[in-house]
Amino acid sequence: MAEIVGGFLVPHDPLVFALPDAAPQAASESVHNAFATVARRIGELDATTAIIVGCDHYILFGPGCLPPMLIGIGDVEGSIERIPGLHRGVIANNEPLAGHILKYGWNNGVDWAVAKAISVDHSIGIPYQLCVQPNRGVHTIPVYLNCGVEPMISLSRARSVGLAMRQAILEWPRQERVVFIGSGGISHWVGAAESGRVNEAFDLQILALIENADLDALVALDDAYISANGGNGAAEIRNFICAMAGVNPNQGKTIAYEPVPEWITGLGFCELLAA
Amino acid sequence: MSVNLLEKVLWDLSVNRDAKNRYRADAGKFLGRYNLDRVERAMILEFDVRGLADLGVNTMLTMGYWMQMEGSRDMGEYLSRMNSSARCTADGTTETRHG
Repeated sequence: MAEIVGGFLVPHDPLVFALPDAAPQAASESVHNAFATVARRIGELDATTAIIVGCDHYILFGPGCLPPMLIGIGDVEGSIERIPGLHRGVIANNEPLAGHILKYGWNNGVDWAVAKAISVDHSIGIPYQLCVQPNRGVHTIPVYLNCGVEPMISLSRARSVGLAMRQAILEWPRQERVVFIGSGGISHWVGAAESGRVNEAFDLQILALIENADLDALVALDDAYISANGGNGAAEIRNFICAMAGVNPNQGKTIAYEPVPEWITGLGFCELLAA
Repeated sequence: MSVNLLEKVLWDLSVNRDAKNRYRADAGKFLGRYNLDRVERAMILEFDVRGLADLGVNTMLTMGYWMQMEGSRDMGEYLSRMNSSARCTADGTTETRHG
């Protein structure tokens, strides 16, 4: 039977690659060490599949079609952007499990949009390259929630999607050890006038809720509050919520937190300790 | 004003190579294919990213179109414009925002 063996919340800040020397050395080392810790933990958990929950940045999906939630069930490659050091190549999917999650969702109130072949963006490409790829043989299922473009998926719906994936995995009859990775920054203002602002108080508030595994409190956050205090980028908390719902942790452990204005983001790393 | 249409134009200019080439070849002709009014056209042509953002255009798109289409690709200049108070008017000139 399939098991959910753990989960992680990590940032996907492209400036870690594009402007590697912009951040203070200690912060940069901390961020890279945190990514390496996640990679090591995925190996220690003996995971066989990682579900990475990311969000498009108005690149993959345009005004003509904005899926609230999408799952890649077939061929995957990434990353689509040309970012120094971020590789482009085939990402091995777990097609049978992805297809099962799709069908389970369709039968249980989650009307997934589907990608049969997809070039992922950095929100999936960075966690894949730094956390999953170092573990040979671990497959990756890409999931996108619309966290970046109005009308966005709601916080409560993000939780429902995670719960549906959890139930689908637990009903999967094959041997599988699954980890969830929620991909997102905490406070960051993307393309906005406030770009470069990092709100540590807000970031620490979010990390405390994660450490307490207080999913209800995260879901109860008001979008206007999130936007005002964490910027448009903080809507990516949806990815955290989805991953937490998938893992059902009894606590979260902060691996690292670095507020890096030079990388325009509060970067938080957490491990979700499965109940 | 249609924020949705403005986002369509900027998305095309951010991700569609053919659209980028056609814009570079003849920006006026390219924009003529969209049902834009004079102010909207002026804002796009003048890279009035602050004005576009004030209308509600997604700032990932204002940044993406700036980085793809504005010659300098200078994020410092982009942020300077985002924090400026000038905006385009219907005749394509600029005026200072108040309030």
